[in-house]
Parts: sequence; structure tokens; C-alpha cells
Amino acid sequence: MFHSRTKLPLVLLAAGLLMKSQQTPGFRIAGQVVQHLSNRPVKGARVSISPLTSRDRPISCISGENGEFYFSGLAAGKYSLAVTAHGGVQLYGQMGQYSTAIAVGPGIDSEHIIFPLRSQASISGTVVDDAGDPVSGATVHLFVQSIENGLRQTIARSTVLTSTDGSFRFAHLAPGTYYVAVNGRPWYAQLNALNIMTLPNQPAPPPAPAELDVAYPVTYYGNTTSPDAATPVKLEEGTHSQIQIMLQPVPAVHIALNGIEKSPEQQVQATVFQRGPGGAPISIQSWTNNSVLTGIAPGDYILSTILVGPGQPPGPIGSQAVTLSGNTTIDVNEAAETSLSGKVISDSDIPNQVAVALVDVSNGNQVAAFLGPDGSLRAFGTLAAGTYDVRLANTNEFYIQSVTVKGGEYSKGRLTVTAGAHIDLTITVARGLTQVNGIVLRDKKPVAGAMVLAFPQDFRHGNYIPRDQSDSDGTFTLNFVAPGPYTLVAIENGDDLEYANAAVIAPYLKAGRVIEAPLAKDARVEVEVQPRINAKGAPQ
Amino acid sequence: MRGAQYLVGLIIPALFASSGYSQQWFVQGTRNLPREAPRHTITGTVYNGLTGEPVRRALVRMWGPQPATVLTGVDGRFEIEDVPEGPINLTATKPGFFDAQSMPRQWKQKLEAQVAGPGSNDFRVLLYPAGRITGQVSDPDGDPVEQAQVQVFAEQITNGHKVWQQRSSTSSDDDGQYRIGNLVPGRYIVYAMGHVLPGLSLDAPKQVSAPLYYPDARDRTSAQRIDIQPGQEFRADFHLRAERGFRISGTFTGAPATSGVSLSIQNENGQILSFGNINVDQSHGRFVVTAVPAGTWTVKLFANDNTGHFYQVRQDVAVNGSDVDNLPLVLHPSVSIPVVVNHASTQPEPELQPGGARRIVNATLTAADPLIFQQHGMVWHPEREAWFFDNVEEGRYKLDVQGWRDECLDSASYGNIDLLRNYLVVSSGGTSGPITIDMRSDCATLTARMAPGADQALAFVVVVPTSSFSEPKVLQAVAQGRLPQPAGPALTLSPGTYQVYAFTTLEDLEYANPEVLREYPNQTIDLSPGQKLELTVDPIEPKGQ
Repeated sequence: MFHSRTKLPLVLLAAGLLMKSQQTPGFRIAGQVVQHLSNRPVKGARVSISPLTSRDRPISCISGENGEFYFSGLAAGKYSLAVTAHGGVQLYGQMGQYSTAIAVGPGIDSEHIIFPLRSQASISGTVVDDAGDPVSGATVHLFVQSIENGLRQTIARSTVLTSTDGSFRFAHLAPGTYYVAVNGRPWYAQLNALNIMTLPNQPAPPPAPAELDVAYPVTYYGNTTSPDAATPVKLEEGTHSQIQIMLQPVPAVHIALNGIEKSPEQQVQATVFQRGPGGAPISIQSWTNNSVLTGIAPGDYILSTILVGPGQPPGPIGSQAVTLSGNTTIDVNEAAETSLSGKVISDSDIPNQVAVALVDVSNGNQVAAFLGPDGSLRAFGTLAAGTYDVRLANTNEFYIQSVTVKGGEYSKGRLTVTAGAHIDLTITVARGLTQVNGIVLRDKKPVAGAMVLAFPQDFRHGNYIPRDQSDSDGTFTLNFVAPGPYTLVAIENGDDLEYANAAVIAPYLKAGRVIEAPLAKDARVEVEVQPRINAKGAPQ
Repeated sequence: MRGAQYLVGLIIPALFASSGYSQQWFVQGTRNLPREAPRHTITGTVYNGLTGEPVRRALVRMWGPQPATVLTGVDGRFEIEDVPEGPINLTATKPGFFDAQSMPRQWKQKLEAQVAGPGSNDFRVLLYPAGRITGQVSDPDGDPVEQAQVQVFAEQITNGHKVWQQRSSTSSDDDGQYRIGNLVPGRYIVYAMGHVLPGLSLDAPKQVSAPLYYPDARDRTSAQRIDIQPGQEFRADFHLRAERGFRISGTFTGAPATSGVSLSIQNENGQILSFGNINVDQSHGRFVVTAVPAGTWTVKLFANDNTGHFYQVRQDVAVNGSDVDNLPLVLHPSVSIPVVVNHASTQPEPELQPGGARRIVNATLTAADPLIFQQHGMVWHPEREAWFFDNVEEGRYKLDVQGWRDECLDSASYGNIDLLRNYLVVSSGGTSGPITIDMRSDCATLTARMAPGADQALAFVVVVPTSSFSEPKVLQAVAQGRLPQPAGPALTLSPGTYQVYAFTTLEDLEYANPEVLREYPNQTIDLSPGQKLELTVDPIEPKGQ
């Protein structure tokens, strides 16, 4: 079962559900909550179910002395099952956005469910400066390695600010590999003339002395400023990791931003990013005064400049990758403005809300482009150089039939963008997304919790690999399937499998089930489950 | 965030200079220096005022004709070269510390003039470590509560009135721990804002954890006053209790169609319900508030039609173990009260100001009810050529009038209610008639000078009218024989009887509270029309808190 992250069922109830089912014999969901690794029963946990058709109305109960729970008088159907303990919510069989729903009905056993509750992990720490004093108000960024759309990526997970004692905490973390970065500013740093109000007819204050004209580079756990050398924090269930990061001041840069034509009441504003682990961007706080950028450490950045003035919307000037150091000059006109334009064509009318999303394959960042009334594309946000999957968004009917590109390269469903490129996309779309329903079997018996994937045979409709997880009765539903041939694969223990990597998935494809979408109405595909294979090709 | 911190560093000395509450002993540099002014090197140490140890890496700012900023070294010492001879002002900052000026009175060092001159220029600068309040929030089962909102209020005296001001707010982490740092030593109370506890069912009765003052008080007056000393960490744990929450619902009419209606629910104990469980359906004129703990609450609806007119209604609701439904509320326009000012006949016609106003009287209405946090000033309406107090909510108010130039207040009334001895009561039925303010020109003036032998440069005289409940006035007294001016600025007062108190400082003194002033000696003066009185005062040190 797939569920959107934004709809985690929690605290409200439909008493109506119970009342209605008193007229029918009513089915039960029952089982036991146990601690994942020790199998000890968990009492006092909140167990919630909600029917898949109305997930905002769950019912809850509290697990008993032996971790037992039950719900009775239920109508037949599928239900999501979740346990909340210590502030964290877990779904039954959860793997990212997928989980195993509980099927309830005649002939189905839904009364012997063992729910292994995973302990959550956390990372706490302190940020100190070179004198050992706490750094307060610094931004701490947490990154996690995860499989997104079948590719291993490092994505930004969350940020917090350090408190007055320099401490921070990331809680409710799942096991995994994490990276921590800090972007702070020395509390004593003086920005030349920026922090003092200059009254008219007063001379400008003298420039700050060198010991105060400093900044901190973005620093990673492991006390390094290079994302590639960052020490990962590996968390298991129940790990509460304590780390410390020390920030070392370096002389701040002063970069004159030249080549900007502006009137006196206009001002240049710069936004500065740095690439973090896996290429995920980290926003850097900086200051621009009189077209001089300062308050940041030397290093490699992506600098975007915009021009702001009274009574007008900000106008972008450009964005460029730069290496900044010392007191230098950057010619903003050299900034390559990467642009995106194009149109979407179709035989049918395209609803307004359909949009195009370019998804960065390295870090999952998305650039959205919306459709104008004539089908023209208007991009929102800056497109940086990189490789992107081209997808449609906000539709469950339309799929991409073909893509032609000018100004960039499009191959195997991926768009390659170089800095300064002007990409013009022509995307032909058609109605025709369907569902594929099926069941995962092992020797004719249903298998729950298997990862089901549908691999398109070619990339003409883009790089999307439909996915689902089999429910307690072995059934699954793949959504957003465009017409064409697919190889269906069901893998047991599919967690953390980099399935969009051709080399990784090749051994499984051989034993897959080939289908042609769309299937006949009411068709149900049977897929034989495969065990997870380790690197040597042997089942795990 | 850092930028703002420096701006504050500049503004505070300016405020001190203009408030008159401290000596003007630094110079802000706009004057040109003669080149011949000799230059000196000054040195100094920043010390922790609590432990006496030097403070390393503190930022020292020297204000003066040539400002400079330096960091202290590992030994807490600093050095600034090329300082022109003359007065300077040294302040230090460091996160987690407060300088002497920010501290409560008992920690302030005696203000010595700092001058760079020939001879030893070694100075001491004090910093005091901040305090912290930390604790754990746990639920009735003893389990930690995550995301519990905790606020800290500091006791502050503004214009002689003691008020609780919110200083900081935070939320507990997944271990139920919260931490509020950077607290300047002083008196605090801690408040857990409360929340709705998750229930098993949408329709089941709500359980709530009611807003609570540490340690376990429902109202602010019973909250424990926590005196935070420099460097102190105070532990304030909350053990939340669950109780039933009830529903208050009803209908409302009278809101203008063009505006949004907002609902607030609070009580005089200082509890505000902000669980996010308020629902206002403007199109149907209905409101529902769920999860309300038992007690008396004031429900207020407010709307603003975006042309400057306010509409409101307030209703006290007693919640005693069951839901309160079908409450009918009618919003009505806030009241505009006309004000008629009669000047003394001997006054020349006041000049027209831009906008057509002839503002020469400063009249304010200050709410006497704790739930109305408003102070109204008079507004000139050019289309009606009159003064008004606009958008006055129902409630009780105190009128205060300050004259200008040579005028002082003779009387103020509302119908036949004497506003100098009675509150103005504003009710929803509207007002009948204006507030009439009569001014007179035969005012008395008061100046003050300290008795000989006083070793202060300045003292503060509090003048309290005996027969009206107007705000006390403050007058500065200067020492005998100091500087060319004969006395401090004069205070213009209406003829009448006053109690006069003299203090060395007004800091931390709740001088608008008659109970507090009662403990101090005073003189009674009787001012007749036109009298010019010079008082001699012997200032005393107010008692500590």
C-alpha cells in the first residue's frame, strides 16, 4: 500500500464506522505490538487503524499489558495500521512511503498480526567555536542517505537552530546513514560598516579590524569543510548519538559585484548556496551592501544575484558557480542565466493544474514548470546545471508520450542541463494512465510486504518506475502506469534496494513477469516473489 | 539577527542619555577633534562580576570621538591604541553575559567616569553571566511530553507600574526537556501553555492539559516568583494533569461582511487558550471552541472592517462541568468618544498644525481592565473638526491629561462624572456626550534641589496628587552648586495638594503603586495658583525587591 507522507493517520475518529458495522457481523483486526529487536511486548502504545478509503478518520486503542490490541465490528476492506509511541508514528511494514495494509474480510486472517515497533534514533550535539564557547543561533543541517525513486541519494532531511548553549537535537530518526553540517556566524564578527547606522553627514565608521572581519565556513561533522570528507553518523534502532562540531573562523571575503546596471534606488541582493553531501544545496547567510558581498568564508559557491527596487518585483540577474576568496571582483554579467521554456501538447484538453516537474537525480530537488492557458511552460525557480528526470505532476490521467529538447540533451528519460543553457522542451502528453492490480505469491500462497516494481521496457514515457508494496493478502496496486510493456518484479526485503540502478536490478528482471499495460478490466496479475540477492548473487 | 544586535548596542546608550535615568558620561562622536589632542593607549580587563575571573574573548567597545572594537585575549585583557584624550565609555558584550547597565539595580557598579588621560589608563569592565530556566514536562503517566510550549515572563516596571512581560518562549524536545537561556537576573514566572491531549475518538470528550504557571498554579498571582541570580540555572519541571475539556459554542451577528472575525478566549488569571481549537464560521455566524478547561473564561470576538472601524463583543462564560452551547453574541461597533478641550481664556489661540489639529493637550485613556491592553491617544478628525478617542472597547479606563506650555489640567468630566476621581466606564450601548477637559493657566511650577551634602549628581522626585488618581509625575533634582543651571527642569502642575517622595533611583521601584510608596517618608505640599516652589529633598535609596 502506498500512502502520501502528508496524510499520516493520527488522532481523530469515526464513531460512525463502528455504528454502521454493528449491523453487519463485523470483522476484527487483532494482534500484538512488540519491540522490534527484542520481541518484548509493548504496552501502552497507541494503535490506530483507518480504512484506506477514508484515512482521515482513524480509530485508536491502547495496547494492553501483553502488547495486545484489537478492533472489532469492522467492515470488509483494507485498513492502514499504525502505532504511535514516544512521539513517532510507524506504519505496519513501513518502507519509506510504502507500508503493508491489513486486508479484512471473509476467509482472511487479520487477527494474528505481530507489529514490530522499531525504536527511533536521535542525533544530539553541540556547536562550539575555536575558543570552546557555544555557538548559538547557528543553522544545523541534517542529511540522510536514502533511496528516492530507486536511486541512492543524499537528501536534506531537516534543519534546526542551535540554542543558547550551542546545543541541537534531531529526534525520531529511522536507522540510516546521516550527515550533519553547520552554517553559523561568529557572534563577534563585524561586517564592515553594515552593522552601524550611518547618519547623514557623519563619516563612515572605520573598517572592522582583521580579528573581527571573520566568518565560519560550512563545517561538517568530522570538523571538515569538505562535504566529501564528512564523517557519516550511522544510526541503528535506538541509537542516540552525541556529536560535537567545532567552527574555526577564517577571514571573510569581500566580493565586489560588478557589471550591474542599476539606478541609485535599486539594490543588488545576492543569494548564496553551497553544495552539500550528494549535491544537496545548503543555503548560506550572507550580506550585500553597496554591491559588496561579505560575511562568508572563502570557498566554492553558487551565487545568484537579483536586483530589487522600490515598487518593482525583484529581477533576476543571473546565477553562476564561483570560487570566492579574499577581496576580488565578480562580473555578474558572466553569470549564466539558465532558462527553461517550452510547451506541452496534447490531443485532449489539459487541466490547469497539470504541471511539469524536473527532478534532479542527484538530490531529488525539483524545479516545477506550470502551464499557461496556451500550453506554454513557465518555470518556477532557478534551474541549475545537472541531470533531471522529466515528469508530469498533479495528474493521474496524463502521461508523457514524447519529449524533444533544444538547448540540452534528453536521453533515456533524462534531461542534461549545462550552466547557461536555454532549454526549450516540447512535451507531448496523452490521457491513458491506468492501474495494474495483482497479487504476490510464493508457491501459490500470498506474500505480504513485498516490494513490487514495474520496469518499463524503454524510456519513451520517462523514467518513472511504478511501485507498490503488497498488503497482508498479497495484493497490490500500481498507479500511474503509462501504456506499454513492463517487467513486473516482486522482491522480498526490498528495503534500501537501489532499484533504478540497472546493474542492481538486472538479476531480478530475469525472473520477472512481463505484461502489457493497460490490462483488461478486472485483470489481476500474479507475480512470483523473489528473495533479496546480496552482492554476490546469493539470496539473503 | 546579528545585525540587529549591533544596532541595539548603539541605541541603548542614546536611550540612557535621553531618559535622564543615568548620568551622561560618554560622548557620541560627531565633534571634530583638534589635531593636537594627545593620544593614549588604554588597557583593561573584562571581569566576570560574579566570580571575579577574567572573561576571555569578550567584545569590548569603546564609544567616544573615535570608536573602536576589540576582543579580549585569553587573560581577559584588551588594549586600544591611539585614543584621543578625553571621556570615553567602555562596554563589553559576550553571549551568555550581560553588561552592568543591563543588570538590576543591586548589581550595577557605581558609575565612574572613564577618561583617557595621561597616567595609568587601565580599566575594569564587568560582565555578569546570564541565568537559565530548564525543566522537563511530563504527562500524568510520567512520560515526557514533546512540543509542550513553555513561556517565561519577567517582572518589569514601566512608568512605575509593575507588569509581566513575556521574555522568551520555547517548546520541549522529544525527551520533554526545555531550556530557556540568556535570562538577565531578575524575577520570573514560568508558564506552560497547555494543549489538547490526543483522544481515542473524535466524538469522545476532549482531555486537555490546562495552561499552568509553575509549579502548579492556575492563575498568575499564585505563580511562583523565581528570582534568577547571575549564572543560576533554575529547574522548573511541569507535571501536567489531564482534565476534561468542554465546548463553548454559539452564534454571532453584527460583524461587517467585509472583514474576518477572530475569536480569543482568555481569563483574568492570565491564561490564554491557544490550542488551535477555535473555529469561526463567518458565513454562518457560528463559532465553536473545544477543549476548554473548567473555569471562567472571557470570549471575545473582534472584527475590523478595514476602514478603521472596529467591532467587538465580549462575554464571560463559566464552564462548570458541561458544554456551553448556543451562546448568542452580537458584535457592536467600538465606541468613538468626542473630546472637548476648553483652554484657559488667557491662552493665545493655538496654531494650526498640519492636518488641521490644534494639539496642545496630551490626553490618554488607559485601560484599567487587565484584558484590554490598550492605551488610546486623542485623534483629530478634520472632517468633524474635533478630537476623538477612537475604537474604545467596552471596559473601564483612566484618563490622564498633560498640559503644554503654561497650561495645566483644571478638571475633566464625562457628563457629571469626575474623571479625575472615577473611571470612565465604556459600555456597548454607546456614549452620551463628550469628555470635557478644562485647562487652566494659573499653574504652579515645581523644581527640586538636593539637600547639601548629597553625593549624587541627580535624584528623582515622585509627585503624587492627593485627591485624584492621576499618574504620578517625576521630576529630577540636581545637587546644590553643580553646573551652571540653577535647578533641573521644572514640572508644571495644577494647583492642589501633593505627596512628594525623593529617591536616589527609580529603578525597580513600583512608584505608581500607592501600597509601595506608603513605606517611604514624604512631604506634603500645597500648591496655590501661580506658585513657583523650589523643593529641597533628601533622596533615599529604595528598598530592594
